[in-house]
Amino acid sequence: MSNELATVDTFGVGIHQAQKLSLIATFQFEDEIFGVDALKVQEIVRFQKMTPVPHAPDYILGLINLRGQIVTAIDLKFRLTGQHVKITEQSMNLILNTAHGTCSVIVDEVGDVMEVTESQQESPPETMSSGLKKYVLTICKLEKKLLSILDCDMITRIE
Amino acid sequence: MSQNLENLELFITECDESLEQLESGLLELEQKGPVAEIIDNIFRAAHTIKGSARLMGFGSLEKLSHSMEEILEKVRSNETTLNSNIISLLLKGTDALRSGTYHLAEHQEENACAFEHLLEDLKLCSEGTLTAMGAATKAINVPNEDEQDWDSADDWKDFPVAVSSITNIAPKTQSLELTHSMPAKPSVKIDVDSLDKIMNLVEELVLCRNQLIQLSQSQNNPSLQTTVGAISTITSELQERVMNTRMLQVGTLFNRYHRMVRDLSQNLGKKVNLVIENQDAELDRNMLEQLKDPLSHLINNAMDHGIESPSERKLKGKPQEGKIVLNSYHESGQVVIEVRDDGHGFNVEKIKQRIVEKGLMPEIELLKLSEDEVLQNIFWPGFSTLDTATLISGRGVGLDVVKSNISSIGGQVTVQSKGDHGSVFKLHIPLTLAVIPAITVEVNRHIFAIPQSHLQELICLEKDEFEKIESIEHVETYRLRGKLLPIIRLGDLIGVESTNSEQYFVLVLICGDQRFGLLVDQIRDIEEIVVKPLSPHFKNTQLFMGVTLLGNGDIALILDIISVGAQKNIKPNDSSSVLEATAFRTKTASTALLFHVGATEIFAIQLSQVRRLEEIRKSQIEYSGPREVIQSRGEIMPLIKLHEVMEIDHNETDGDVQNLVVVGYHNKEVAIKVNEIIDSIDFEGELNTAIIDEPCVLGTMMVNDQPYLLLDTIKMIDLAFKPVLKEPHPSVDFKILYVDDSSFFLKVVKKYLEEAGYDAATEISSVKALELVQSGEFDLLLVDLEMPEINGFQFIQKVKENPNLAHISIVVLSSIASKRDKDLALEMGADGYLVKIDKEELLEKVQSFVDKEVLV
Repeated sequence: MSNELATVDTFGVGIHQAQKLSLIATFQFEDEIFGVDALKVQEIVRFQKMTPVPHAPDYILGLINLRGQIVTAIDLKFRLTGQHVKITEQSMNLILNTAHGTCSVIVDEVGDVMEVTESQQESPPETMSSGLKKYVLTICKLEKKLLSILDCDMITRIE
Repeated sequence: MSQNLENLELFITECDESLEQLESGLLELEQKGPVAEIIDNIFRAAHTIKGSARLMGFGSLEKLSHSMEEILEKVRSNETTLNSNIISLLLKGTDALRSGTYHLAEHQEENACAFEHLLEDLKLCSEGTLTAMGAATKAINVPNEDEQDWDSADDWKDFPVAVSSITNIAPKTQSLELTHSMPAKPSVKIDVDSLDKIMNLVEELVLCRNQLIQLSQSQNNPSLQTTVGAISTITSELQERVMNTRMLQVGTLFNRYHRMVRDLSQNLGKKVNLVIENQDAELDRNMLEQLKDPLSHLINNAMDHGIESPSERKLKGKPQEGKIVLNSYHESGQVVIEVRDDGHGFNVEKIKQRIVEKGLMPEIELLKLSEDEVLQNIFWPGFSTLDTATLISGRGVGLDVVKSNISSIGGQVTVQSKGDHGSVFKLHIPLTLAVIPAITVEVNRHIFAIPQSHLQELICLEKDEFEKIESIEHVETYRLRGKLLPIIRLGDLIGVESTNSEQYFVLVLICGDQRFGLLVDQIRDIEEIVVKPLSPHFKNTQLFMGVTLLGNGDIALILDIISVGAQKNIKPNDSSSVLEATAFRTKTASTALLFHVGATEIFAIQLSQVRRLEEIRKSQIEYSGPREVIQSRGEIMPLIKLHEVMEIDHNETDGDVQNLVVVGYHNKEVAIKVNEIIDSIDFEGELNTAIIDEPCVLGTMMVNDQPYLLLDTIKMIDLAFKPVLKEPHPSVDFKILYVDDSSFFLKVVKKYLEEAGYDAATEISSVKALELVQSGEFDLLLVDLEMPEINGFQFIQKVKENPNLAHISIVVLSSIASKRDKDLALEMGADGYLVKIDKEELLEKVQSFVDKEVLV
C-alpha cells in the first residue's frame, strides 16, 4: 500500500527533501477508511463502558473512564452523516489529543500507521458536500484507493 | 551545570523552610516573650542558612545570616534582651534573605551589596548600640502624620523619644492569639507533575484491582479472595493518600497572613489581632495559590479601611484591639472562605450615592434593592468609597481585582455589612478537584452523585405508600410533616423511565431557601468523591456541576442541585441567592425538630441528632424482656418511652400508627416514641436552663413566643438503657461457642464474654468446632473468617446446610471490615458481622441474641 515510500532517498538529499512526510493513523469506520494525524493519537483502547450524559449535544456519545481520566466520546458518524453510530463490544476507542482536550472517537477497526508525502495529498474536491468537507483536511492518494484524512480538532470541536 | 542548578534548587528549598521557621519563630517570640526553646530553634534556622550559603559560596547571604545569628547568639546567652525592635530588625533580615534567595532563583547569581544598610543596622544592634536601634526602628515605624490620634495612654506614641528607656516591651503584645505557633513539620517537596503521574498510576491500579476482584469472585478460592481483599483495602488507602497529597488545608494559606497583619498594624498604628477560626477545609494546592492575592487584598482593606484607630474604637466602646477573622467551611458543595472584621463596616448610603454618581444604576432602581444587594456594587472596577487614597490600599483598585481573581477560578465573592460591627467578605470557591461527601443515587441504572451538603433528609416510600405523592395540576407534591414538598422525578429530568417498582426514595434537598424532593429509584452509597470538571463539550448541558469516578471505576455525573431545581422553576429567592443560602444554612445549624408527647408538652430535639423519622404500625413492636424493640434495617432498634425517663403524662396514641424519631447512639440507633411530629424550626438565642429540673431536658427555648423543651438525647438514652445495656441478663441456657485460629483472640473474647456473665466455650480448630456444634448445645456461634482447614464462610455454610443446626445464630467476628465479606457472610446465612474487637458492640450484639432467645 505504501510502496511509494521506497522512493525516499537514502542519502537524504534527494527529491523528497523538500517534502514533509507525515504519519497517518488509519482506521476503518462504516466500511470506509479514514486517516488522522498519528501524532494526535494518544492510544487505542478497546470498548469501554460508556456513561451517557443526559441533555448533552447529539454529537457526544458520553464519557468513558480511561484509567482514571474522564474522556469525552465523540460520535464521528453523527458528525459526518447525521446518523448515530451503533456501539458494539468490538468497537474501538481512538483516543485523540486535540485542541479540545483528550477525546475518544469510536471506530470499527484500527488499521496501519503509514507515512505519506505532501505530494500524495490534495485538498478535498469542491464537489464534496460542505457538511463533510469541513472535517476533511486532505485527500490522500494511495495506490489503490483514496483516503480521507480527518481534522482531529474539527471532529472533536465544541458546538 | 545541571548539577549546579539542582544544588541551587535544593539550597533555595532548604532556605525557604528555614526562613519560614525563622519568621514564625520570631513572631512567636514577640508574643510569648523570650522562650529559650524558640530562640534555639530560630538560631538553628539562621545557622543552617549560613552554613549552606557558605557551602554554595553566596557571600552576602552568608554575611547577612551570620550577623543575624550573632544577635540571636547574644539573645541566647542573655547578653542582649530581646525586644520588639530587635525582632523587627531580624524580621527585616528574614525578608532580605528571602528576597536574596528569590534573586538567586531568577538569576542564578547573587545580588551583591544588596544588604549593606541592613548589615550595618544588624551589626550595631549586635554591638548593643541602642541609639542605632532607634534609628533602625524609626525606619520601620514612621507613623503617618495624619494618624497622630493614637491612644494617648499608649506609650507607642512616645516611642521615638523614649527609645533609650526601652528594655523589654515584648510582652506588650501578649494578647495576640497563638494559632500559628507550631513550627513547620519536616517535609519533602515534590513537584506537582510527578504527583499527577503517581495519581494517574494509582487510578489505573484501582481499575486493575476492580478487575481482580471480579475475577477472584468467579474462582472459589478463599485464600485468593483474602489476598485480593487485602490488596483492595491497601489500594483504596493508597488512592486516598495520594489524592490527599494534592490537597492542602486552607490553614497553610491563612497562616501566611500573620506577618502581614503584624507589619501593617505597626505601619498603620492600629492594633489588630488576626484570628484563624476553622482552617480545616481542604482545597487543591493550585486553587490555594490563586487565593493568595485576593485574600491579602481583603485583609489589607480590612486593616486600612475597616478597623478604626485605637482611639476611635475606644470612643465607640469597642475593644481597642481590632479583630480580623479568617474562617473556612463547606457549604452547598463549595468551600467558603470568610474574611471578617469588627471595624466600622460599610456606609450603605455613601455607596448608593456613589452608584448614582458613577451612573451605574438609576436612583429608582436603587430603591428596590436591599442593603445587601446595594453592597455588592462595591466590586465594580474603580468603585471606592474612601475619599482619599492611602498608601496601603484604597486607590480604587482592589475589590474588582479580587472579584475577577475569584471569578477566574470559578468562584464568587459576596459581602455583608453589619453596620458598626464590621463586615464579612465571603469567597465561595468551587470544589473542582476538591473532595466532598456525596450520596450516590440510581435511576434506571444511571448513577448520579449529589453533594451531601444539599441533603436534608431521606424518605423511603414503599410500594403501598406511592399514593402519598399527590398530584395537583400536573405537579407532584409530598406532604412532609404537614407541609407540601414539591417533587421532582430525576427520571423525568434525564428522560428515562424508573425501573424500580417496589420502592422509591425521596431526597429532601435544600436549594438556597427552597426545598424540594428528588425522587430516585435507589440510594447506592455515601462516599467521598473527587469533583472533576466536565469537559467544555458540555458547556450547554444543564444539570451537572461536574463528574466523578466512583470506587468501582464507574463514572457518575454530579447533579447541580440549583439547576435541577431551576428546571422546575424552583429558584432561590432574589438575585442574592448566595447570601440567602448562607443565611439559611447557618440557621439550619441550630434547627430543632418539634414533636408532641403526652397531652400538652411539645418537645424539641436538635435536628443534627436525628437520623431519620419512621412511621410504623404498632403491631411491628416486639418485646425484648421488658423493653420494646422494632426491627429496622435488619437491626434490632430499642424504643424509648419518654414517660419512663421523665415526669410527663403517659399518653399513647390511638390507632395503629406509631411515629418514631430515630436518633443515633454510638453506632447504634434508638427510637423515641412520639405522638405526633409537628415541624422543624430554626431557633436562635439562648436556652433557658433555670426553670426545668429534669435531667433529660437541656433547657427551654422560646420560638415565636412559645416555650419548647429541648431534650438531651444522650442523657435520655443513658437513663432509659443504662441498667440494661451495662448489666446483661444472660440466661443460663444460653451457650456461646467462639471459633478462631488465633489463641490470642480466643482468650480476649472469652474474657469479655465471661466478664459479662455469659457461658462461653472456645475452640481453635474449625473442624473440631464443627463436631462440637453437632451436639446442639450451643445457641450462638462466633466465627472467625480466616481459618485453616474449614474457613469461616464454609463453616457458616456447613452449619446452615444442616437442618438440625440451621436455627443456631452465627455472628462473624472478622479482623477485616470489608463490605464484601459482610455481604457474603450474611448471604450465606450469618446473623451478624462484627469487627474484632469492639467490646461494647460485641456484648450488645450477644445480648440482642439472648433477648431474642428469651422471646422465643
